[in-house]
Amino acid sequence: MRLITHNMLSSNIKGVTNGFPLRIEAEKVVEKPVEIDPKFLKNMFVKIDWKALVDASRIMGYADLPDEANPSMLELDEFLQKFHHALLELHLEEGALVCPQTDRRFPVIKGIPNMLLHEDELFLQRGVSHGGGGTPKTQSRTFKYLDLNTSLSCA
Amino acid sequence: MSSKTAQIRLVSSHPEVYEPCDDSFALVDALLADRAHLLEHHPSICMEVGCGSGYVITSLALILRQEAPGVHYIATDINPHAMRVTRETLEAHEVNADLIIADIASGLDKRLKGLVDVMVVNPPYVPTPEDEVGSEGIASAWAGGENGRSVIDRILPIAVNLLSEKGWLYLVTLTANNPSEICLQMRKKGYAARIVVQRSTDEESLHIIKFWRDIDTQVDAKEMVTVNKSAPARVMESLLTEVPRLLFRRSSNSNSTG
Repeated sequence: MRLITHNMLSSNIKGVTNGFPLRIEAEKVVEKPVEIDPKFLKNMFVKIDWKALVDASRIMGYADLPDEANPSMLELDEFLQKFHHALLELHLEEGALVCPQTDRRFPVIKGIPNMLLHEDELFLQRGVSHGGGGTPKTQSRTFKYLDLNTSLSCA
Repeated sequence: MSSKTAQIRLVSSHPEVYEPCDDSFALVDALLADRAHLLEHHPSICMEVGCGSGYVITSLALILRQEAPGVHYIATDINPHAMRVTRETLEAHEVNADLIIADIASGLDKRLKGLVDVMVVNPPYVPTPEDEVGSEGIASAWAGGENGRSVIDRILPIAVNLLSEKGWLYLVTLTANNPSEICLQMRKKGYAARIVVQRSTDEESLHIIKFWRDIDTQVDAKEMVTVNKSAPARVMESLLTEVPRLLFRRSSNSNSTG
């Protein structure tokens, strides 16, 4: 998980009013270089919570971002490089995201945060996953019923 | 030359995660059919809800890669196995996406609000008893409750919240889901719709519907609801008139998907 995504995540536990930013516990951080895209960075700058990004990058071991930033700095290559590195090249590989209000830990394993809540933390939960499959979804269903009703269908 | 979509031989798998099938192919075909528009759209953030094997999000990243390098991809799934499989599929194609184990978009509703330029969703759309919805593992990939709409109806408002002003949603639906009613519901929220791909297989009749925000649409929908009770049928009729010229044949790109 990169810090751009960290900047978009907040704790959504029932009753939590101040769930952003999630505190990072970093056990393993990796750097993966990607091509810089100034246009993308300029688009994203206004949407990023700067303080959250600075604090997160420092916990991840990168201390080069300035405390304050404003749009005019986007004209400076040096600033763009730093912003790019912090936002898109640092990956939290192992660790946790911690709710700032309740200290509830959302584990991050192999770079993937688990934001699922327990029953008592939410109002209502039902699942969603991807469709697709070796057989079409409807066919999978049909088989399930056929298995149950074999005697009827063969009669 | 690199393939424009994910290659089946490079898509990872797990017993608890669905492999790409007709619905996934139809969704990717819709993205391919709309490729020129997607490139002109210049999305900054693209998202897939319920990414399963990772076939669709990987394909989207490959479709946009050459001409739009600076795009951030986010994919969610409620099934942790699916996340690991998606990660492997992405890595095999050398593309990047941030993955989150989430119920639709849990944890993203506040800060990602209004930022998603392209959202793709292949939801669990199969009509099933309600108590099967959200069960663990592979069943969560298809169990859609009554009319297959339980999860779709939860996704739509979340999608509307996350989509940017210029945001597009591509949604897989089955005839049993009553896609015309879905379109009408989205009309009330200001979204226009068109069918990008329509495909009938032995088992299912699929529509891939694209939604986009349209100011005039909201007004239309209000009028239609008050004056005409058969509005859903009319919506569908107007959508279907577009299908012949938009129909995209699977055979034309079967090489690229293996």
